[in-house]
Formats: sequence, C-alpha cells, structure tokens
Amino acid sequence: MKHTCTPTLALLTSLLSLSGAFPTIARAQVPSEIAALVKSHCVDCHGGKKPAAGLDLSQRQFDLSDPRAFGTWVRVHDQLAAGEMPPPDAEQPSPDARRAALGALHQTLRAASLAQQKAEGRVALRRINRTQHENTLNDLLGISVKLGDVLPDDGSVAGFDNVSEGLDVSSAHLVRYQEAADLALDAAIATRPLKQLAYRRTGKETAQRGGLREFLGKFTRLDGDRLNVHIQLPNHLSIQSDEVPMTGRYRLKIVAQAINTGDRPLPLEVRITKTVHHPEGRTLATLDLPFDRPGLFELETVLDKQNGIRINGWQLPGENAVRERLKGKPLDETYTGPGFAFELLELEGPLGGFPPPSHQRLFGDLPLKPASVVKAERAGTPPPKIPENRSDDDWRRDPLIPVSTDPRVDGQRLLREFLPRALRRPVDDATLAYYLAFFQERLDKGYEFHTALRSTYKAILSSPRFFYFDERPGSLDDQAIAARLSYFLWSTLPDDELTALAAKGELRKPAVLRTQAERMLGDPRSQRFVEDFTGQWLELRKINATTPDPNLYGEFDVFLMWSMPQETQMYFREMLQHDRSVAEFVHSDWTMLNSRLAQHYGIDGVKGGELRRVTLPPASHRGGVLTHASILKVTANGTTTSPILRGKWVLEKIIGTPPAPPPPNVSAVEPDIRGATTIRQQLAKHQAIASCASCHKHIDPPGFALESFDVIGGWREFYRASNATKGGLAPLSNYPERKVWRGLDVEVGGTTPQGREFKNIDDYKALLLEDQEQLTRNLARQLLVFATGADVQFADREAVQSIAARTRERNYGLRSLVHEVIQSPAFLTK
Amino acid sequence: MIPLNTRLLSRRTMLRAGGVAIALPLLDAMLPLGLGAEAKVAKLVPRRMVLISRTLGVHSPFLFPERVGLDYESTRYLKLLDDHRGRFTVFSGLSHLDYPNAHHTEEGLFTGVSGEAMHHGSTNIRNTISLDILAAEHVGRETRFPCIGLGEVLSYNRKGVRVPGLRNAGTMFRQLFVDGTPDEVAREVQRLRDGQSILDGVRQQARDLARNLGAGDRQRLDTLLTSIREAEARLAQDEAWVNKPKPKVPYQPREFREEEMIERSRQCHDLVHLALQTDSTRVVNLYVFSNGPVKLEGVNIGHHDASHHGQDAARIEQLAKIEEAEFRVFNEFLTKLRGTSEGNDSLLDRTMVLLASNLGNASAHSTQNLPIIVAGGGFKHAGHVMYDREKNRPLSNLYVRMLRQMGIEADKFGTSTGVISDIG
Repeated sequence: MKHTCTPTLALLTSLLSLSGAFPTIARAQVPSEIAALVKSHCVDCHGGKKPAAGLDLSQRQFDLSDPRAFGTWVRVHDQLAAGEMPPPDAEQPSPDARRAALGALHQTLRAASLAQQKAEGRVALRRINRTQHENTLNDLLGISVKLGDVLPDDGSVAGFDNVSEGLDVSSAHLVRYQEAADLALDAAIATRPLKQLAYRRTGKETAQRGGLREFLGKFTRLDGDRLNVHIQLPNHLSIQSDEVPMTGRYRLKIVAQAINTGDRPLPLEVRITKTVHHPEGRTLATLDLPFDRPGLFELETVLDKQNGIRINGWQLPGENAVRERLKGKPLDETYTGPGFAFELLELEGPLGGFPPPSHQRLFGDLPLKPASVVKAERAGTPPPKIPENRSDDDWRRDPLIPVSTDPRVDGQRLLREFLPRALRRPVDDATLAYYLAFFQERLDKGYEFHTALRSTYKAILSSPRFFYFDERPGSLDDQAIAARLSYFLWSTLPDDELTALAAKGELRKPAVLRTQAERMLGDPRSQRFVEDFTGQWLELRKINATTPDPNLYGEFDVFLMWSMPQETQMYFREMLQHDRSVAEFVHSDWTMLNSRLAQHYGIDGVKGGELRRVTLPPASHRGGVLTHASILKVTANGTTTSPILRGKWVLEKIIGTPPAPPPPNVSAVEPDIRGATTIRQQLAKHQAIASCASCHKHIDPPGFALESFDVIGGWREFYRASNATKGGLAPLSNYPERKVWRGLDVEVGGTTPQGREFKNIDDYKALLLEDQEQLTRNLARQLLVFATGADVQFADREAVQSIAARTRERNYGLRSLVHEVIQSPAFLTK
Repeated sequence: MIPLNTRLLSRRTMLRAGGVAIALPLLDAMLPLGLGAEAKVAKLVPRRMVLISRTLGVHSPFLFPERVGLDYESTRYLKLLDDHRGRFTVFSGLSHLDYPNAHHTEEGLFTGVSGEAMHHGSTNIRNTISLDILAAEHVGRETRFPCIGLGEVLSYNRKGVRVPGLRNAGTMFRQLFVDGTPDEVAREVQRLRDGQSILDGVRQQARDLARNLGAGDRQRLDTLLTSIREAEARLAQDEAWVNKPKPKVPYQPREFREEEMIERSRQCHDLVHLALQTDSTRVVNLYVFSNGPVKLEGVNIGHHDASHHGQDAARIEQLAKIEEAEFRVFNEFLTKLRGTSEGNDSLLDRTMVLLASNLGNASAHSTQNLPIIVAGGGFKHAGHVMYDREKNRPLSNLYVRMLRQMGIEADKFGTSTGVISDIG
C-alpha cells in the first residue's frame, strides 16, 4: 500500500524553510528510540528497491545540516504524530514506543532548528520587494511614480511575495534599481514651473463637444445646464476630463443626480483613464447619486501625466435597450427610463506649491534658475529672457537647476540629511564618508553641482543598504523594529514618528509598540496592508485571472466584478477595525454589500453601489469569506468549479493544513463536463486509489461543501449546460429575466476525515467552527510569514500556538491577533 | 550540470567553422576570457537560439501524428506548418521526468532541474541555469545584447536566480532600434559610467554587510556578488555599443488590447525576427502569455478556460481555433526566418527555434508528453520523432543536443541521461 501524501505531512513540509545551510549544527546521531521504530515499522515500505513515495528511510542520513534531510525527518515526525503513519492497516507501534520516538525526534529537530535560528536568525537576509520598493521611493521622496514596468516581478514563497527566499537579486535587478532610482529622481526634481490643469465643464458644455452631440434626443437630453444621460456611454463618446499635464495630486469635483430610479440612488463609476485614447484604466470610486437632489462629490487623487477622469452609470442600459423603449420617438422629458443628470465635472491640480516638497527634500531651499540664466550669470553676460508660456521642449532643453554658491558644503549638508532617511537608520562614518567622497569625486570630475548630487542620490537609492532590510542575528534593534513594523502595516519605510521613537530607543517597549501599531492601523496607509495581505492570503489578486463564460454566465458584468474584491477587503477591514473574531472568516451574520452583490446573493433592501455592512437574513447561506463571490471566483475557472481546487484552498488558507502537491507520475483528474458524470462520480474513481485517497479524503470534503456555488459565486441547485438539455430552460432565481439550460443536479455534502457528516455549506461551516483556535493558529501563521518575511520553521511552532492562544481571551479578535504577532519574540528577532 | 570547462571554446567548433585554418594566436580563445578571439571564430558561422514557451500546453491530439519520420500525416496543427516539412521536428514522448502534475513546473522548463527539487513545491526549487543563459555565456559577447528575454521569461542564471525579461515589445523595440539624440547618448554614457561606480559601491557594501551575518546570509551575499559581476559585464557591453548606431528597421510596434493576443504575439515574433536579422542578439527567450479573452471568429471564452475544456467538444473546438491561430503565427515566423538569407544560408538554418510548453495536457495539468517542436538550426530534421508515451525520454537530452549544435561542448544539462541523436 502506498501512502504518498497527507495534509499534515504537507503542512509541515511547507512550514519548513529549507533555504540556506544549517552550518552551525553538528551532525546528530539518530536518536535510538527513532532508529528502533523506523527499523521495525517503516523500512518495510520505505526502503528496498522501490521505496514507497520515493522515501527511503533505510538510507536517509540523520544529517540535520542538510535542509532536505531535515525536511524528511520533520515529515516523519508529523506523520507519526498525526497517526497517519504507519498506515491503519499496518502493524502499529506501542503507544509508549510512539511517544518515546516522537519525543526524541521533536526535541532533536527543535534543538537543531533553534540553533540555526540563533546563529542566523529565522529570517534570511531580505530585500524589499517590488511593491515595497515603489512605495519606499515614493514615500521617501514624496512622489507617486509607478515602477511596475521597471522593477522585475517577485517570486512567491509560502504564499507571499515578501518572503526572503523568493527575493533573489539578479543582475537585472541591480541595473533596474538604478533605472527606478532615475525615474523616481526625475519625478521628484522640479525642472520646470508647474503646469496647471483647471478643467471645468457643465453638462451642457460637455454635450456640445464632439460626438456626444449626436446622442442628444436619442440617449441623452439637455435640461438647462444639465445633461441627462440614459445609457451606458461607449468608450469613444463619454464624459471625460482633459488629460492632466503632469503627475501629481488633483482635486476632483462631480455634481450629478439620479433620474427615474424611484427611491434608489444610481451608482456612478468614476474611472481613471490611462490616456484619452486608451480608456482602459481603473475604477477610482463608485458614487451613489441621490435620487432627490443633486449630489456634490469631492475627491483628491494622484494622477499620472496624461491620465483623465471619466464617469459612467454602472448599470444603465445599452443603446439597443433604450431604442426599443423609445420605439422611434425622440428622448424627451416624458422618458421614464433610469439615468442621471450630469451637472458638472471639475479637475484641478497639481495641488501644492512650487517647488514641490519632493524637490525640497533633495535640494532644500537652493534657488532654482533656468540653466541658461545660471550660465550667463557665471559668465557675467546678460541673462536671456525666459518667456511666460515656454514650450515643454524649451524647458527640456533649458531646465531649471538648483544653484549653489558653495557646492561642497551644500552637498554635504543635504546628503547628511538624506542618508539616514533613505537607509532607515543613522549612518556610520564609513558609509557617510563613502557617499561624500562619491559626491566630491563627481564635482572634481567637473559634474555640475546638481548632477553630482543627483548621481549620489541615485547611488544611495540603488545600494544594498537601501534594498536590504538591515537585521542582524539576535534581537532586532529599534530601527529594525521600526522597519519591520512599517513594512508590515504600511508596506513602506518608517515615518518621522517611528523614526524618532526608534532613535530614543522606545520601540522595544511593548506599550509603545502597541500604541504605534494602533496609530498605524488607523492611518490610510494601512489600506496597503489590507490589500496586500488579502490579495495574497485569500488570493484576491487573482480576481481577474479568468473570465466567466459569457454563454453560461450572462449575468456577470463589470460592476459585479468590481464589487467582488471590495466585499472581501472591506470585510477584512471591518473585522480589523472592530477586533472581530477570526471565526468570522468562516461564518458571520453580516457582510459588506452593495446593491449589485445583494442582487447576486438574493438579498433584499440594499440600495446603491457603495458597500456597507449588512446584516444577513437567516438561510442566506452567506457570511464568512468562504461564501464571498470573490473567493468562489478565484477558486474556479470561468466555466467550471473544481472541488479539488476549492478544497485545497480551504485547507491551505482557512484551516492551515495544506495538502502536498500530487506525487509525480500520478495522473491528474481530468475534468469531464460533458454531462454524463458528475464531478463526484469522477472523483470517486480517484478516491478508489489508496495513494490518492490519503490526501483526497481531506481535500474533497470542503470542496463539496462549496459545490453549491457556481464560478461567479452564485447559489446553484443544478449545473448549467451550454446546449439544450432534458432539464429544459430554467430561470435563475436572482435574475428572473435570465434562463439557462438545466444540467445535472448539484450534489453537495460529504464526510470529513474524522467521520463527521455534513449536508451543505452551513453544516460544514459549523464543523469548522468547532476548532476556532486552529483557525486562529492558521491566520497567526499567515500573518507571521507576511510580517517577518520568512516561512514558519520547526522551532516557530510553539510561537504560532502561543500567539493564537493569547488572543483566546479576546475571542480571537483579528486586531488582537495582529498585535500579538507584533509583540511576539519571532517578530522582534531576526 | 555543464562542467565548468565548457566556458572554453571547443576545438570541435573551430574545426567545424568551415575548415578554416586557424592561426596560432587564436588558441588564446580557448581561455575563458579570450573574448576577441572567440568572437572571430563564432563570426564564421553564427549560431542562434530562440526559445518560445507557452503556458497552456497544446491540445496534443491535434498536434502529434501517428506515423513517425518525415512521412508523418499532417495533423490539424502540423498541417499549418506543412510549408516547412523537413525543416522542423516534432517530438512526442519528451518531458522532464518525475515532475509533479502541478502549476509551478514551468520554472524547470528550460533548466531541467531535478524532479526532486520540483517536488518541494514552488517555494524551494533550487533552480539551475537555463538553456538560453548558458548559450548566451558562449555566444553573447558578439552582439549588442547577449540575449533578449521578452515577457515573463523562464530564464535562470548559474545560481538559479531568475533573470527577468523585458516587459513589452515597445521597450524591446526602443532598446534595439531607436537611437538617442547626441545629447541623450552623452547622458547614456554618463549613466553607464555612473552605473559602474555605483556597482563598485554595491560590492563594497555587500562585503560590509556580510561581516555581521551568519553563513547562510553570507551565501546569499555571495549570490549577490555574482549578480554584481553580471551587471558590470552588462553595463560594459552596453558601453561598448552605446556609440554605435542601432540598425534601422522599417517597423513600428503598437500597443494591443488584451484580447488582441494573436496580433500581440505576431508582433513579438516579428521583433524577434528583426533582432536576429540585424544580429542584435543571438539568443532569444520569448514567453507567449495568453490567459484571457482572444479576439477570434468563433471564440468567446478565455484561453485559459478553453484549455480547461473538460473534454467538451465545443470548448475543444474553441481551443483549437486559438491554437491554430498561434500555429499560424509560428508558421509565419519560420517563413520569415527562412526568407532571410545570411551568407549561403537562410537565417532559419542558423537559428534553432524551440517551441515548448511545460504542460502536456492543460486540462489535466499533466506534465508528461510535452508538446515540443524544434525548427531550423542546421539539424537533420526527422519529421516526427516518437518516444514512449508511458516512459518519456528526458527533455534535457534534447537540450544537450541543442547546446552542442550551438558549438558548446556539453555532456550533460539539467537532468539529462544522454543526448538525443534522432536529428543528426
């Protein structure tokens, strides 16, 4: 009998960080208790010519300095501990022998892991990842450049892209770090006066522009200064601002009102377009236009050069629907279809003075003059006249440059200020001397002051002290704590307050650390934590990875697509805010909804496009993230759902017992959606093979619990078919106007490996809730990995347990858990 | 692994280089750092390599023929390449042995890292060098770019560090074909020199940092030192070329929408052709990414979804439409290479093109029986070469053969157990 994988085994394999050597650990002896047990109970299968699962324990050295050997013995430990091995049908060791072997093995492995941590730290030398790099440059300089096209993608380890093992530095990284620094410095340094945009157009003025005029009387009409819009405007004819002339912060003002929507607001999409000609961009916000009065909305946002703002009704009908309704008549004040009255769009910026703070951080208050003027002044000739409305090209040829009367002194002063901020700690004399010399060398070579200084800034921003975390084995010092905390909760470098506290040596005080964490969670930058963490833990980053088949899922639209991840992020945010129990990731009587999601879930009474907390009616089958449409979408492809993928997801993300990858040369289940067999029948075949069953008995049950949800998270009683079926056309309960071909009935329910039966998702959630501490341990582990940038190791197991246990009194509250992670020794040690 | 001495120029290459009598000083070329001399020899017969990877496999019933040899019957996809019959070989029954049927196996596609490493999951594949980077070490000093990766390429250096590619065709076009103004070139020279000094500082700091760290971290810093050396070489090569005008080509890349996948892919192939034709590089790695919607008659589901067809005939048909369009692009690419002559050969004769996927059947995520096509490159092509579909032959054995064709003396690569001899 072959036993190749079980969840426990796999969990622990993944808990191990196999990277790096274990250099300080001497070769250990196989503890005699283990040797005896292995010999009597393991090597019959795990030995000989064809060892089961390719694991030959008769040959395996007990050399714990070899990460793979270490991993093997951890697997042995965990299999033994979980009672998965020896297999049930084999002769079992006596309880005493098992206990003795386990105890000896545990002690040896823990000692080895601890020794390694002591010598090296549990976190291997780590660089900042792409997101952190971009944020760090932006926040350090006070700019907002996008560096996604320059900085390479990061590898993901243990589920997160900020874990040191996945963050190698290739030659391309080194070259592109320099490019990124150049781009950031370009954005930060003022080389021309501000170019302002003051866009202001009423509905009437907008309607008179270009093609939009053609729609008057067909899909839109003028009502005084207002333009009433009754369709979803196409990309080429839309309400859109001019492009912004430079990157910066802009103020946006919109005045509009819903029409013919009864007592409901109309959700309006505000979109940032890449350029006028590339309308694809991203949704900035959803605004609910009031039905009874004009709504005034003011927002501030960062826009890149050439971006614009576009507004559109999320759910307005298309041209054909309006034409049908009008039956050839013009659209006038008698029209009763929904729409919105657009009054005003204003876009102003960039905000802030000149030179911008980003420039001042690099060049202080040194006067700025056109290069030609500086040259003339130096030569003692009359300076050229600089016209008011100079062209972009002229400014490029003859930019503003900062002027210093004493380059050496000014440069040294500015570098002394800049270095500790950029490198996130006070700099030692050697480092300071190095950069001062670098600057001086350039001056000596004849670089102009500003060029020499800029080169030096670039060198600093491309240096290992910039792109590595500076953590040394043992307890972290204050600066390292500040950096860990800041990158954990803000994904960026520490701000002034953290830096000041670190300088005073305050951050190692638990109360101070706690206050700071509270402050940081209350800051808007903590949204980066919410997005980054849920994006990876719950895989929301994959929300766009597949497109639902339009033939089967015609009810899917972009508004639903936008709403899905919002629900989950806002749910996480709400839990964090109110310290809700981690158990609510599994089940709750509330969630975050807007009208679109509420329609999708069949919940009445939710009006408007903005998401808010909604109490769920009984029997909604919703509550907890497992039943979020977002999660059900990222765990499916566009056509079919797979209990295997969803089951694996639940084990990995919620329970914390990920299955091992399928063993080599075992053929995968090839889905068959032709309708003859259900997925349960297909999987039953798989389960009949013992080597598959050992994992699938864990994987399949949660998958089948979720089988009641389709690929876009809708509730289903039957599968949809793409062609005519005997079942005929059936209406969708939440979309009565839509009918689909009825396929086979969905089979849900199953039995857990512990023999507990469940009939549906509600039962299954109840079973999961029986061990809340396990759910909390799982999340503690995920948070610890994300917070420290290292996978959880053998010696960290107790740490994870203790972090989780300490939140018991707080009912396993999420915010408490975040605090416990931050206060844990694992967080405060390299 | 390739033995270290493969950095030496092999005698065989020299002799094969047209039977030219090689003067004694050239023997210096046998030293690892004999750059100039090596270049002269390689110039006699440039050898080029193009690796094209796709993530979603190929529907193999429409690819693999039944009959072996040059007389294979044209399958639905091979029919599209009939113009080039005899100039390419399709292999069935190749794979990296012992890879799990899992997602992350593409990381081993061009490195052939061991199945054991792969089985540790994507977290801990200690990867090894990829085919393109190894080839570039040998032929890359000759051209403006040692190698070009376009897209999320599966390239890895000697330390197993992933080498990222260029993100899009526009960037590639600018780097290859667009000259800066004299001012910009002057700034570029300064930038490259500054870059070198900055790398000096990077090295110095890396050494400083190592003092306070444990052995494992010092090992990581050692990897960094390798990257620093590579980056220096890169900048030095850039500097050597910065004043030479770039070739001018009558081409203007454009941006495509997501669903214009075929057009985007064609543009990438066009640029690869131009890069080879202008000898801007001799090694190219191209990652053809496609996942979402594809604008094609009769296709209304996404590519990823079509590849997970679940045996549904209508879905397989949609998948086939997408894949046919892709094979047409590949066919056009081969036609262009063949239509470009260089000396007495066509560019295709001097360019080995490998089309590969890490999935044999995307619907089952299986990693056996990979779709593998090798075209051009001066091989004695054999039509359809079939190995055991149950007990596959290591794909790395083909890689050894390809390296040798590049003039690199290789006995072993990845997990090779020998060398494929079916194509001469």
